[in-house]
Amino acid sequence: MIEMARRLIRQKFGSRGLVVALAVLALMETFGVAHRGVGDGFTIATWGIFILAAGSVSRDVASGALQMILARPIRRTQYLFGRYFGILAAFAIFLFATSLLAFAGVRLAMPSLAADVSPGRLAALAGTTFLSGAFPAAILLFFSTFLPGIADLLGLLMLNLVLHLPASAGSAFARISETARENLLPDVDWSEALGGSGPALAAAGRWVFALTVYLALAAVVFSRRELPYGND
Amino acid sequence: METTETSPVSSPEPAPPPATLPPRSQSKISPILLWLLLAAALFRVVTAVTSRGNAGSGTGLVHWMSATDAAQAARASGKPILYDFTAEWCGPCKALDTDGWADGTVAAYVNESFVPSRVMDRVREEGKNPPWMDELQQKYRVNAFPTLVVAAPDGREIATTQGYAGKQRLMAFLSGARGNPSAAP
Repeated sequence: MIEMARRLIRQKFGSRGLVVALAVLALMETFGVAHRGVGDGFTIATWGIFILAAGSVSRDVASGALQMILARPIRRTQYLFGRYFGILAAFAIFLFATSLLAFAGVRLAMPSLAADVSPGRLAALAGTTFLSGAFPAAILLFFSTFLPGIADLLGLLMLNLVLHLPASAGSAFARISETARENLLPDVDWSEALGGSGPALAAAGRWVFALTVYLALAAVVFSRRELPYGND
Repeated sequence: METTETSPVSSPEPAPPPATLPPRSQSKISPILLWLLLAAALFRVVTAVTSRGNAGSGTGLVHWMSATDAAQAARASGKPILYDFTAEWCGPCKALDTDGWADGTVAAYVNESFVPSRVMDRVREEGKNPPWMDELQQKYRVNAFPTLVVAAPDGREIATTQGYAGKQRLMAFLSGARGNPSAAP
């Protein structure tokens, strides 16, 4: 599993285009922090998870790399969860780099904000952003086990649309939608949840359960999937 | 020339072990996943129950009471009742909890001058409120959260405010309502 995680990190950070995209996000976040301080949290850096997690399994299937990997005696779930932990590790590296960049950028360009942008606050911010990113990564991994290319992004978008659109309809349908959204896409205020606040802690409980369900579903779907081995 | 037959079919040597796991065992899902799922479900239930248990008590240092107990306590002490109509999903209510009620000065003033009662709306979560809560909300025309109502011990409305605009405004509202308890609308 660790080997699979390392392989994903090598894949992601070995791609020049992807590194440039992540660097642009990190720079934009740095400018944002230098402009408004860290009060609003990392917003742009959160998008890094979509770049890192999109097509994580489907691309290996399409290229035939997965079939080569599975020629070795490893379980499919080892490969799958290795990919997931690889995504998380890559996201952690990206957030660490973004925090460093923001810290250095503010010290150099906006010394007046230096007290606000302390290493502790940046670390807390990176931590909550990491937790916020772990959830869409699990959904993308699930969709990536059966959708081609980066259609997993489309799947995530559709899931969000389906669960958010009916909210304006009112009546019982809106309540069903609200309940589904709370359980399938729980929104957690991590600073409150980690502080033990009741409602936020309940949301964290929903988050943990939903994340585990998405990963379990991904494992079930991926374990039963027929892989293409050419034309024969 | 004689050749030695090396066909694997006729070879007496045992076949070497396969380099890969049989497909079925490669696709097998570890039981650990099931245990993780059970643990996550348990965590979800525990946090939901804990949260529901805390929902009525609110946060901060204010000594909240149920509406029934508050009405009795107000009649006994002669203090006005401070109703905090709130909801779990409401953002400004959380700000009121963490910034307003959690402040020592505000909480001390509330505990000293009022009989505080917190009324948690459950329409969004459970589809309806208990009848007594509906009656209370209709009586004080509660249509947004948070709504603070100061009522005399006999239930007459003294003052009401909606939303949360910081500690200073909150204190101004509370002291204004306390200083003018007979100003029924």
